[in-house]
Amino acid sequence: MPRTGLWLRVFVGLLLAVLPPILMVVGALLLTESVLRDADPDLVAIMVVVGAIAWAALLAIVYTRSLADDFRALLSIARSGNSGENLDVGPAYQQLASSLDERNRQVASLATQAAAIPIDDEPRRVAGAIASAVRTVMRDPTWRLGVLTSQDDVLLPPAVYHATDDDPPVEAVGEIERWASVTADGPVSHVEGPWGAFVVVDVAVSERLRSILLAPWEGRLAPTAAERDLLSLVGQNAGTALEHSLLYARVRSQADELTRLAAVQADFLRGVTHDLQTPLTSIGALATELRAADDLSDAARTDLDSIAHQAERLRRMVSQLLIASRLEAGAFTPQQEVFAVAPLVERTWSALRADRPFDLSVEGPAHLAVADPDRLEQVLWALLDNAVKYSPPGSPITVRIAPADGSLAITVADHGTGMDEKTRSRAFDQFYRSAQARKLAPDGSGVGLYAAQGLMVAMGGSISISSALGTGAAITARVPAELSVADE
Amino acid sequence: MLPPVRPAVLLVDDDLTLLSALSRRVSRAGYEVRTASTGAAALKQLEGTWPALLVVDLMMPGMDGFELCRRVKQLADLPIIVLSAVDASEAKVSALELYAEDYVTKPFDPDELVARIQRVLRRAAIGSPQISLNGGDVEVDLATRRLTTLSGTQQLTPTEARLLQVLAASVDRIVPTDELLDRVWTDADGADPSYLWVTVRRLRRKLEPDPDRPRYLMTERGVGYRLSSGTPAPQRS
Repeated sequence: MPRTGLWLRVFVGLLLAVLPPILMVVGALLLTESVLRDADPDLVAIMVVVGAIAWAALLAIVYTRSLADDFRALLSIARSGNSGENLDVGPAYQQLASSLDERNRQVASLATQAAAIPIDDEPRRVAGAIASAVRTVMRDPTWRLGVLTSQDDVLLPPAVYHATDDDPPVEAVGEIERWASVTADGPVSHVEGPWGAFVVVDVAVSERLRSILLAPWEGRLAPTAAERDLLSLVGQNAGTALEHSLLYARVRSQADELTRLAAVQADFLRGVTHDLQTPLTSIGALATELRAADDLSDAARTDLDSIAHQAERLRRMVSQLLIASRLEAGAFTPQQEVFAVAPLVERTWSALRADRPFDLSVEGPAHLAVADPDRLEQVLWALLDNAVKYSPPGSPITVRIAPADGSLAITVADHGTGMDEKTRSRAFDQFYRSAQARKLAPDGSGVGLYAAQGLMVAMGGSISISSALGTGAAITARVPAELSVADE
Repeated sequence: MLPPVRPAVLLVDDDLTLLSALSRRVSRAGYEVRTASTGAAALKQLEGTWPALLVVDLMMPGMDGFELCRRVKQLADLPIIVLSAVDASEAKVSALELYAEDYVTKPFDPDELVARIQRVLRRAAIGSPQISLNGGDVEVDLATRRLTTLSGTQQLTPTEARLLQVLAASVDRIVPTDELLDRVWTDADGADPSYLWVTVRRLRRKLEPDPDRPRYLMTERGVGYRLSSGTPAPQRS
């Protein structure tokens, strides 16, 4: 409709443009010949001018209307274009639009499918998922993924992977796949040979992995440039997914191996220490009983004393290891008893039997700790034992107990070599032993401070180190405490 | 004159060396000691006279200590101390509270075991595993150490439970400080009156509606403490 109107207006426009000059010429002829010979020449001139102006006005109105109609027609075309109405644009344009539409759909589908491929799954399953995704994108159920060579035979063995819901989902690499891959000469190739025509797309090509996507192409047109581009894009996406899944699987298998080794180590430690519990209790108990006998020589008594003491030492070390493994398993609930700290420090110190000057000072108003006395004793043992181990023979060990904001701060200080910044920051790590520590006490386990920290935290307290190299170490354990005053 | 009756303790452990060492130590502490190296042998012994207390190893081949405790409690409400491995899971330890009065983790000092035996036997002699005050406003289950008041349920520490048990045995009567120290703590604890002050203060926070104006756990100045069963006028502490 708009087109017919346009032609009509062009015709009228031309007519109007040609008519005035003709009429002017005819008018002039009539004037000069005799028709208006007797008329007033001024009147005639006025009439001619008025006529010309009238024509010009008519022309202007008609053209303006015509232009306005054209403008409206253009607007209407633009609007109908926006609303997606089928325009009368000719078959070529329609074909172009439809192929663009198809291409857009495929790219969108590729993006969706690529996002849906799980890279954290087993690489074999990921290969199947890629084949499924490509079938969906290309709307063609004949596509499959061939892994031709792979250095990761366990994670991704060479095979032809079908879609995940195919039966069977995996097949051995056949001659067709080998032949297709050998003749491939670019990211996307259309090859013809003894087994027919195929389209082959390179997916992942490296020294470690060579794989292709392929589909039989018999009886179909060779892919256009646009189709090749799209297939190349599909191949790149599939390759990325495959490489990522292999990388992820490798990292995960390494992590699994580390976790397994840690579990084996923990099991071994638990097993060994567990087996030691009963015999150690027996040795200690028997030595103590023998010592209680009256008819013992001094030498025998001294030896039994040593046996009991060493058994006690071992018992404490085993307890420390067991506590460490329980802390790790999160299976530790301390008791909450009310007790005095100073006698506990004295008892622990005398059980240690260290031949050192020892100074215990208690400051501030009297407090009682609210914690697990057995566990605090383990902590004190570890701190005192460390102080003795890492300070020169004969140098004094001091313990200071002072109230501090709802708790008691128990500070164990020595006059040893102290700790440098690195040792201080790692002193509470399990099994950590500094080079200095290894030199001074080669038989340590590196569990003492780790267990001490775990125990203090479990009891609602804390532990900290203040030390510099050369000034000795001071370790402070803070244990929850209450003021011990009578309530009357 | 008859010799004084010695309480009997039945030790059950599959490790014969430990059994022998512990027998001697417990015997030296003044108890009559019987031993069994399996759960079945222990149950067999119970067909005769009952001991005052059992010490049971948790890890035994065949019937384990847990099963033995369950069967013993079906026979009689005998107090049990369990010897457990330190790495026993928390679930197992909490389940133990159903059957065992106390538990000692291996490796342990035999003196510690003797102290626990004394403590459990003293407590068992007092009896009464349930305490109810003021018509049920306060309920204490000593077996699970759970204290239920109008404001909720709380867990008592073993010492708090023992203190309440001793006071409840003489409800509405004054128990002197020395007696409390003697019965709630053992010699090895080295307790002095300050232990009692702090423990009472902490217990009041769990027990009393207003810990500063106690209604149940009353201080008898200069003498001791008294557990009140009813609703007397609040005492200012």
